[in-house]
Amino acid sequence: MWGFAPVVLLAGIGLLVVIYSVRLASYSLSVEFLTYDRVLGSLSRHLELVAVSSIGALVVSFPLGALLTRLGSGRAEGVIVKILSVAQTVPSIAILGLSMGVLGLGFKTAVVALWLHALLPILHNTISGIRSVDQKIIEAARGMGMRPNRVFLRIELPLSASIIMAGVRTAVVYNVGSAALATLVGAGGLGDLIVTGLSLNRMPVLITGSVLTALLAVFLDSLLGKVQFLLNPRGQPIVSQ
Amino acid sequence: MVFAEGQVIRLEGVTKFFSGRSVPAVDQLSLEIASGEVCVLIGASGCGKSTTLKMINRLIEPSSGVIQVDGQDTARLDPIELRQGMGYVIQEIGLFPHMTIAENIATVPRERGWTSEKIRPRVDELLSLVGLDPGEFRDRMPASLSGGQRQRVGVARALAADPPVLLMDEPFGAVDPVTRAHLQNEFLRLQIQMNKTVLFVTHDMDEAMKLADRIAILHQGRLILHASPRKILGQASDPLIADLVGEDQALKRLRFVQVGEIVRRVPTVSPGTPLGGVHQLLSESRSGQVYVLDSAGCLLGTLSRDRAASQPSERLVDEVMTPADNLITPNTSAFEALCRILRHEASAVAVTTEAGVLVGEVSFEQILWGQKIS
Repeated sequence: MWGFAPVVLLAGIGLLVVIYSVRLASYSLSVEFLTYDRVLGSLSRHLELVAVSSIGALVVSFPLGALLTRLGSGRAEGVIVKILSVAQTVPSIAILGLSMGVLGLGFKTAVVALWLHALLPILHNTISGIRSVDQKIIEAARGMGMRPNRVFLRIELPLSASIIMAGVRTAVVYNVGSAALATLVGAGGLGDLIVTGLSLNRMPVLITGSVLTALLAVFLDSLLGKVQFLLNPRGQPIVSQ
Repeated sequence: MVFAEGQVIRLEGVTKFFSGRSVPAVDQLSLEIASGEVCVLIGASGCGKSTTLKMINRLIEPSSGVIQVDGQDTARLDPIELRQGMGYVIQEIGLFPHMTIAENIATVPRERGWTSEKIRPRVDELLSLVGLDPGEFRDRMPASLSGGQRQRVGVARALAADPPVLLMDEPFGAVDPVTRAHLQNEFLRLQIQMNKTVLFVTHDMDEAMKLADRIAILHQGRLILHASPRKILGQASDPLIADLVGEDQALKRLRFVQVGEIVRRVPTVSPGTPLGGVHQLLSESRSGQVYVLDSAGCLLGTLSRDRAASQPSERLVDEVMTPADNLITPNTSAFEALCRILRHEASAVAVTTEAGVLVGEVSFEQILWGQKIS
């Protein structure tokens, strides 16, 4: 029960910041701009960007990673990880620009860029998580007559759940930050508040956007940390990454 | 419960080449393990013993040759069913760390689709069988157990679905020597009850000697000897075998000689005899002792030459004899007899039946002789 205290605390702080900023804004020129509707709209759009891109990355990377570990040799695995590592070194803003060149402005463009960046951490952790399971344990399972899919579901997956979730956490936290740039391709999100605050030189707007982005990252990381804990089998170490 | 009879395992010309190696890991190996027999595969690391074991449950597929279990060619069987019919024990690290002891033991029954009503009592039964209290251990995690306890769980897990064959790959390699000796004794006790066909891999010759009905020695993938432990000790002139057996092979051989085979007859007297009447016997006794027996032939005590000489000759033997202790029975090993002689600094030990009837004595000379006849 108390495990969720930090998560609740962070959500509370976020709420207070929003209320305070909107109140404060009523004494300034930003009164027109900083409304509850707009803040909530930006926040939910931000969450949408992160959720769609991260879930999309999970849906692709996890099965791909699991499949690659099923292949005997690590050759295909090496090639794919290498390609994604290169993609990973390209800054998000550059990917966003390239993505815009192909897809134009809008939500889709931002989601594709974020999705691309989230692929590697999840794929990488899926592969290394499954590979990290002790071969002796897998051999014992096979030697006792467990079918290959059962070895995967009952042995390899539970024992690597923590490492795989650590990859998901990394990807999600990364995406919360990168999603603040989505405003540049007209995809909205909390970046709208930050950029508007900067260009109009309105502190309450800027701070609301920035603090909410930061809190959202910490909040989601904490929440996924709980999920990671719940997925991890009893008595196994938790990986923090 | 009734345990199934073991099954014959037969290997014919089995060869295994691993890719990228020109030398076979296992080379034309033919071996037969009789039903209910414990066969220990032994050899230096890399000799192909683990590979051989894994070819039997098809974790490794042989390059050529035939492996039969109970007359059936294993290559034609479904590997999953084949493996479920063979208990598999590896070092304690093979327990699933994320499952409770009960879940670990229930692995094969669950794979076979047993109901949980059937699994639960079976798990408790197996825990008791390997000497662990079900109430205490059922729900614990492997990490909270000692090495020896984990190994017991490993054996229980292999026995869960009552397979007729057990494959054991250095199962006691990761525990300390005292625990290992315990586990070996437990294994021997269980094997008498269960009569499984067991293939046991080890690199420890003492373990092999202790557990095996027959030992198969592998060297560079080839079978160089397949014989009883006693016979192997007799062939220790072969340098390869001598290497495995070690410097103390002569001592080891004594473990397979029973004192009943080397016991010698001794001079005896009845309790009422005066000392004067035994001087002749004492001077002829090779160990310098006479043995005092009651009318039923039971040993009462011994009288040594020195003791007799220090007492007046009209005293009776039962007044001056040393009461009988330090006795051994005919099925004791010569090794133990030697230990007794050394510990008590005696010239010989008396051998009696369980009921105390004197059979004879075993002295140091006879142990030397017994070492040769083995």
